[in-house]
Amino acid sequence: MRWPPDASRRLLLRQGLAVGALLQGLALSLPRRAQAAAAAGGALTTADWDAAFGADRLATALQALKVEPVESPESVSLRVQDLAENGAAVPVLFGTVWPEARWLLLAVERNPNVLSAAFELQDPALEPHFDLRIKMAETSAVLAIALDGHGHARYARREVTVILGSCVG
Amino acid sequence: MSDDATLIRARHRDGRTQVKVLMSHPMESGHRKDEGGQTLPAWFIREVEVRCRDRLVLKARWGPSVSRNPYLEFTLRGFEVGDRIVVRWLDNRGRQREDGALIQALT
Repeated sequence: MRWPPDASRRLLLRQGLAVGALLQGLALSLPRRAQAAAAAGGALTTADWDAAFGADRLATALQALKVEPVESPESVSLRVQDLAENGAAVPVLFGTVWPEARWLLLAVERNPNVLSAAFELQDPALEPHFDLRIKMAETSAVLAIALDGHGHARYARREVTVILGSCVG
Repeated sequence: MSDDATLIRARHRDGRTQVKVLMSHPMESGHRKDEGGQTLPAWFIREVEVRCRDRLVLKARWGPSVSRNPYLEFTLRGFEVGDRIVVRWLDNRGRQREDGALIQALT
């Protein structure tokens, strides 16, 4: 035997204590994080979302959501065709691997209403990746934006050339 | 037309359930005009909720630029063949629709 029995028992005990401490730390940190979010005013109200969905410019929508996103293709994925023949239904695959992400948004910079959709990422049963078809009024950048709910945001961006634009919202 | 049922297909494989949803809705943007030059009022699905085992697994808010007859695809973990997936939408006129489908094994 490589380990004297008492030594391995000590190791097990030590590991057990470490795991216990870790679990305790997790249990304590969850409510703390929620408190921190509330203190930072990170919570978004229905009025904030209404303003964001009503915005005709990306800057206005982001202001309503109280974020200044940073470009991060490592955190947010976005797949859409470079050339869309028909803007009436453009398939977009978007997702995030950012563990802090609480919302995942899809925006079309030059649509009359820039914000297309916002998915809440609350339940761990839901994988944070979606496939949705959207309308595009004209050639524009498409953005997938992940929000952490504490005022931070990351995005990925793709330019899409639209041949036949859709009269869209 | 927009009272047609939402088509849901949920296929289970290796612990993951791929869900494909096709809703029936005009998704009028509010920027289109009819033949007489009158603007057609916006009419679109604003909220989408997906439940499984009485658990709210997906919640989304949409704007009028989601395509007509919206198509959405996503993946769930932790559910089994035979569980019921329920999709509910609510539009900006206050109309709503709820449809369900059982998770099937991917063959």
